[in-house]
Amino acid sequence: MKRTTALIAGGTLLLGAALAGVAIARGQGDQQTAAPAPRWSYPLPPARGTGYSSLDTAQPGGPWPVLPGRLRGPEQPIFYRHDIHAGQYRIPCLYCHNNAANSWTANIPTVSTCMGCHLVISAADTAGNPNPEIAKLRDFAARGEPIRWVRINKIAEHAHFPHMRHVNAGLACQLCHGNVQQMPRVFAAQNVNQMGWCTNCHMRRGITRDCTTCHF
Amino acid sequence: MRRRRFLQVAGVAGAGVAAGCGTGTPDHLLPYLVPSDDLVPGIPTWYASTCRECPAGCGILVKAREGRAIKVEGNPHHPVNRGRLCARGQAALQGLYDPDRVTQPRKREGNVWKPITWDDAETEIATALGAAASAGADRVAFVTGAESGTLDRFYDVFLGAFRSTRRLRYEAFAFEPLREASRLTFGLATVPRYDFASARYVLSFGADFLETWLSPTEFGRGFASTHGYRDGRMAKFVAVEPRRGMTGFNADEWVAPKPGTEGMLALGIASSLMRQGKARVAGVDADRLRAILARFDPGTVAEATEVEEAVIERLAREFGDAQPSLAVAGGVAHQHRAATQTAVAVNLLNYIAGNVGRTVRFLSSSPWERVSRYADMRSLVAAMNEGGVDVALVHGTNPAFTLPATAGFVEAFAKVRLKVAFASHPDETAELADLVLPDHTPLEQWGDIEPIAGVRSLVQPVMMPVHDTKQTADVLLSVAQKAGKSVAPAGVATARDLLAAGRPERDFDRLLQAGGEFAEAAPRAVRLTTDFARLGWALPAFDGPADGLVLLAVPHVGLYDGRGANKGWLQELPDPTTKITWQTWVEVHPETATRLGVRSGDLVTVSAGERQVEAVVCVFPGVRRDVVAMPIGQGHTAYGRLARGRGASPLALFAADATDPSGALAFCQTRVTLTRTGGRRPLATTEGSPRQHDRGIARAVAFTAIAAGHAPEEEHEALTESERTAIDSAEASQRRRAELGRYGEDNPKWEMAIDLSRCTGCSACVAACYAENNIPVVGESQVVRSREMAWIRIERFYDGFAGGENDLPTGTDFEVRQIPMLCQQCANAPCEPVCPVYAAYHTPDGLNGQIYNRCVGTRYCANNCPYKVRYFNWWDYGHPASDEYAFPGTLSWLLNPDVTVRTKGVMEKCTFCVQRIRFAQNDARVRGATLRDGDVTPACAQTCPADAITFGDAHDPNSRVSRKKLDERGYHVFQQLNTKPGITYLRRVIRSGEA
Repeated sequence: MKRTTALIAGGTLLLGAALAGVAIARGQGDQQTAAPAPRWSYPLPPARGTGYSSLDTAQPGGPWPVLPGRLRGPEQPIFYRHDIHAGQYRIPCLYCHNNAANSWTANIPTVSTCMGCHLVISAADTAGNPNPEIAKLRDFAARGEPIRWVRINKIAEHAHFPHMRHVNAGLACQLCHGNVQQMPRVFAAQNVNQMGWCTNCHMRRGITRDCTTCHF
Repeated sequence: MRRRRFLQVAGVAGAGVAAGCGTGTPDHLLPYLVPSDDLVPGIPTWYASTCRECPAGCGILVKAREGRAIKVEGNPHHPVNRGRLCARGQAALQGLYDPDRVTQPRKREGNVWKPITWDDAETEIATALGAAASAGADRVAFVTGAESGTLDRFYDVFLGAFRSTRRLRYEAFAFEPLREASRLTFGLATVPRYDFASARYVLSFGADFLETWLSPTEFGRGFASTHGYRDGRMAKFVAVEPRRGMTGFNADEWVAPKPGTEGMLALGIASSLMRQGKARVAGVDADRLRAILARFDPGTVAEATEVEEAVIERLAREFGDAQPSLAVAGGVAHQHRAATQTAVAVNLLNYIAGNVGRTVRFLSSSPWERVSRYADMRSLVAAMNEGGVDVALVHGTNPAFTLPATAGFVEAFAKVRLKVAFASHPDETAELADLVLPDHTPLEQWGDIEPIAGVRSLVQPVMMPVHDTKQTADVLLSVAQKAGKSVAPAGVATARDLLAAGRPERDFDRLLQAGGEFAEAAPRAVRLTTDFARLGWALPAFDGPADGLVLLAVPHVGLYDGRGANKGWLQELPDPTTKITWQTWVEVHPETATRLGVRSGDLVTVSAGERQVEAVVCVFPGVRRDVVAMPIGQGHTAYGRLARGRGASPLALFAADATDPSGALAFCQTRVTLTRTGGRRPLATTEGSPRQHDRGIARAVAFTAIAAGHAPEEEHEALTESERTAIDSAEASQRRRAELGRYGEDNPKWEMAIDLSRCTGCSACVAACYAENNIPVVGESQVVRSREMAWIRIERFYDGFAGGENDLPTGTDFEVRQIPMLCQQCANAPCEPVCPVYAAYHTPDGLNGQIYNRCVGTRYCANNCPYKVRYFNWWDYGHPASDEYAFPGTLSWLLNPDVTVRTKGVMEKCTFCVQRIRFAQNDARVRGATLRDGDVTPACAQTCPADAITFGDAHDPNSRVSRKKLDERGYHVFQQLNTKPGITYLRRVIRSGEA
């Protein structure tokens, strides 16, 4: 439980930093240097009524990006938007997927990690009703039920991919996962099971291409 | 190359067809609700606990991944096993994930089992216990396995609350003769601590101390450290037993006395020792002993035991000269009607040679002294028969299987009003019960035991329970509460509370992390008593016809007393002596087999009077002509899909009332006759050939030669001049190519050294390999077709005797050569160039990589491998929908996520646990450290009780493996083939003859 408390505190702090306009871009080096021109347009901010929390009133980076007409990627139990969290708010990937830096697998954040922020943030509408997707999240948390996310990237079981080595080498997550910060719904940007794609990168960078590096 | 080109073309044509395949249903990812403080997905967590697969009490570390236990290893700080573990300990996981476990509480209604809630079951027991307690004293019986420590005391308190003292700690192998002998000679009914490591001479009178005797892992370590050759020194080991088992295979010399005369031989040696003036006793004791031993002059003993007088004199001389020495006795197989006498004789021998207090030490207590006696079990049976027991609770033991049928346990148990089995598995006893309350397996339990006086070894759960099970102590606490009895201090509601009682939480956590408190008690001085003087020293009687063959019932190294029978790894583990798996065999001496007209594979009826069982003949040179041997452990009528209906138990031949003076059941009690049934059953053996045919696979050298500085190298198939030229030019061109690309960089070269002078053949490595590498269990029918999948096997050859190259030895003067055979990771590997798809290739760090997803199953590599260490998946062992699926039910939970589960049509083999190498390398890089020698250990080397396997980087001149490679005993198997193996074997040293 200690970690949960820490996460809630961390979440609040982080949000404060984001509000101040500080972009914490650890793990997103690629994005910083490339700084792609946003492909979405910003509508006028909606009229605000009562029911907004002070946090909700100030949306850093303006209002949320609009959704494209067609969404790629599978439907998820909660319409979690990476384009808002990672794109607009610039929350570093490793804030939620923290094990990518120290483990073979990059974890899916625990429900309590989400609740660290969403205990406070409800993105309520003018009537004061929380955003329906956040409401779903809170229901999961209240029921004590894990969220059954649909898996997007799965490396075949005969290959073993050490996330921590790649993250520690300073590689951007986007290199394999695509520009997740622009994806309203995540889709597989790359077929991670195309070995030629792995080896090309290894070859370019002069990294080992020995089969037993990954296959055992 | 043409073959390779062809397959490339064929592969392109096939790719178009395969491209249409999708991945099927979407996968889901379920994150945790709350991150756990001690769990990082993808990184293992280790928990310290204690192995409960036998009463020895080895410390273990259990590797858990994402909350599931996937590997058991020894705890390096534990005083019993020092980081090592036997095959049974490795297989503890298969008990945890056994697909046949009892998954919920159930109640017998007529002939059917009905589910029952925990609450109802507890209420029912509480009511019955209350009624029994008010009906009188001792009307409740509680039978457990060997226990010591907090829960053991709690069980007694619980029973006391219901006015009963009928508490049994029943073990089939209770070593009663040892305890009784200690009482008779030294006045302490206990089992001493045997220190093999400091003994310079070991004399075993039938104690299988490397298999099942007391604490085999501990003894294996000690024995290997003293008997392994080092710097011109090694201890000598002489096995004195009618059957030469795995322990005897390690002996430098085998002396085979007539069954039942081992004790007499020990007395003969003792007597000779005194006569030679080598005794280390003086005064009254010496006079008294001299008077007793006078009867046992070498001549008389030689006649009775059929061991030559000169041998007796020589053994006495050697035993007395080596200081300190150690004699041991009391193996279950040789527990005959005079077993206590054997143990007393051996105690005297140790005493006379001055070993007591040195290699034989008495501590304040031993866990064995708490184990119930066979007589106690028989009186419980009598009490149940008389209706004196209303409620019987059975926990962690299976008397319905391990007691001989004639003991009448089954019938007597049926007369008990309420029979409750706290069982993890539906064993024979649970099948007879009214209520089966599924118990946690030891890997899910809390507990503590005291394997050595002063050592408190903790048991803790390593994962959430697999099923709806509950720890027995928790059930009892709840039952006591329902019955309104107070059995525990206030605030204690669970077994964990009992353990932690009176200790600050932080202290207890620290204790759990270490695995317990390891402060071994100091030994105490003992004096010779006079109690043994009234022993008659009569030789034991054997039932059955005088011309029959004495039957030895031998505890199985994997199955123990039968508790391992539903574990696939242990069933498929080749018996170290006969190499047979899955079956019940009867060992017959080659000459006896000729006389009886039987061959290996013939089915015979083994009969002792009216009682008979069926077994397969295995012609085996390690038994005397007048002896046959059968393994204990098979013949279950329940217990699960692998155990039920398999083989037969020699216990079915026993008379329950044949006991020795200590009251122990005589396991060696009857002479049997063998009759051919006419049928045959091919032996499911992994033995290729019992002889080496001059191939020089497992080599040995005489101690006298090597100690004197000349260890002649055996020459096998010397190279001709043209062969030499061809090899030289091939090597030159290889050297050029070995410099290409990454191969020329500064890589490690992983190599192994195996010291055959230490290897005991115990096969722990084989089980560890199964656990680490997701190796499927294939079953008897596939083993018969030589399709077993074990990546490491122990080969066993008979050598060093006069005879033809296909003959089995018939005398006792043969040597046994054992050698662990695994992929040699050849630097010039025959498997690699023949692979058309580069699935077998050489890695820059010196391994023979085997890439399963590349493999197309041509099997060229296996055909070209001279070591026969490649294994082909003939069936879909890894596919859940397949009939041959090797991991049914929860068994798939033990799969190591770091290792690919291979599919049908794929060749697989040892790669020195490459997943462990990569894990260590990645881990070191992330920490910013460099790998040190010893950071990577393959599963086999990790578990080896004898520490025979050394692994490391041969490019580092200071690594242990580099130094071992330079040993004068080093050789490569099939060196003449120029495969340049990465495994250096160190020749076994045999110290036969005069020492």
